[in-house]
Amino acid sequence: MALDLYGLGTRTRVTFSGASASEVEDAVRHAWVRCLAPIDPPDVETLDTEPLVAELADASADTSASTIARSELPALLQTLTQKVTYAKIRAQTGRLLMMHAGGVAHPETGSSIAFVAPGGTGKTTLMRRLGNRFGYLTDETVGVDDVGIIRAYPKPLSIRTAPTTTQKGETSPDDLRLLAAPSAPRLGRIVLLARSDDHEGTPSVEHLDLADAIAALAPETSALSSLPRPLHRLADLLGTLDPTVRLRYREVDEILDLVAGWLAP
Amino acid sequence: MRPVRRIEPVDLLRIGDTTLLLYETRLVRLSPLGAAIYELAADGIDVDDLTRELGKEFGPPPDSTPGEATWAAVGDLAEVGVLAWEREPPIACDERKTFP
Repeated sequence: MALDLYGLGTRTRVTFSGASASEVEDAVRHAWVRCLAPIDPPDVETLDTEPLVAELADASADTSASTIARSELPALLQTLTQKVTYAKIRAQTGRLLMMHAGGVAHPETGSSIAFVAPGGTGKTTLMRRLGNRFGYLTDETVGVDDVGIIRAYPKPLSIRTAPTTTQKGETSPDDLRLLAAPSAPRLGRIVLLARSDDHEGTPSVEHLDLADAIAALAPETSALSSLPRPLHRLADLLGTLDPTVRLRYREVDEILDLVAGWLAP
Repeated sequence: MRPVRRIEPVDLLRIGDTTLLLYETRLVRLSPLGAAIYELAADGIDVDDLTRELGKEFGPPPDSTPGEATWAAVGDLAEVGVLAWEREPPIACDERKTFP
């Protein structure tokens, strides 16, 4: 009993074991509905990651790096999402330029924006809101190849189940009615998100020059130093994009039209 | 004696007056003075020699002696991992501004 989970230009085989294997597989199939078949065009290479095993069992059964055991289904799904993402990032280390970012694409043109921000600072919330108008690419990691094409990773959205808890529910993009990603989305702009409860007034947009953009982006990348000539790769990519901006705001509703304008053909 | 030597980064990019150095897990942004020290320390250099070379390129510093300014800059670059001491510095870092 196993599923192949695609995304970020990779395929991760997850095998389900134990007495509840069928229940877990159904839950994963539902949450990962956008990742059950190849996402990239057929001529694009898909890498295999290391395989994983998931089991609804006491965490003491979690005996190896590739085995995930949790006694509660939500915790198992949350940890599985993290492990799948790590496996995909490891497989693409030295290949894709990967940023901690959510991404959406215009459904017709494929032009895309990567919204870069550390975890827990508004990426998923913004993807939920934009995903009803634009194709959902990911809420976690935007991976860009050497010609600027994004390898979509439309994983379940990790949504905090209550404001005071760290536990997140893995929610299918279908359940949130997010639009599907277009084929071969091309990165058009990078936006650094700076959401703050202390921000006053309307959202502000700060244009970053190349050096400032690289300095701001580098800490929000995965395995940047493993790429050949990584700073040059990042600079070359930024040189093909619309200006990189830092977007300061408080409420997500205030920036939706602004972002939609950036994605307009 | 050549007490400081640069640590080679994974990649280096110059953009105008700014030099960016990428190390395994960090990015360092250098001013023109920092970039000059980085270049001069390619094969290791004594701080007194470094002071003389920087004086030729940048002239006297505005707020301190040349030696103080060089020791301060070298200390900063060592702290962020751009330079390494080839041997222990002759004085404690917190006293470096008194060094000639």
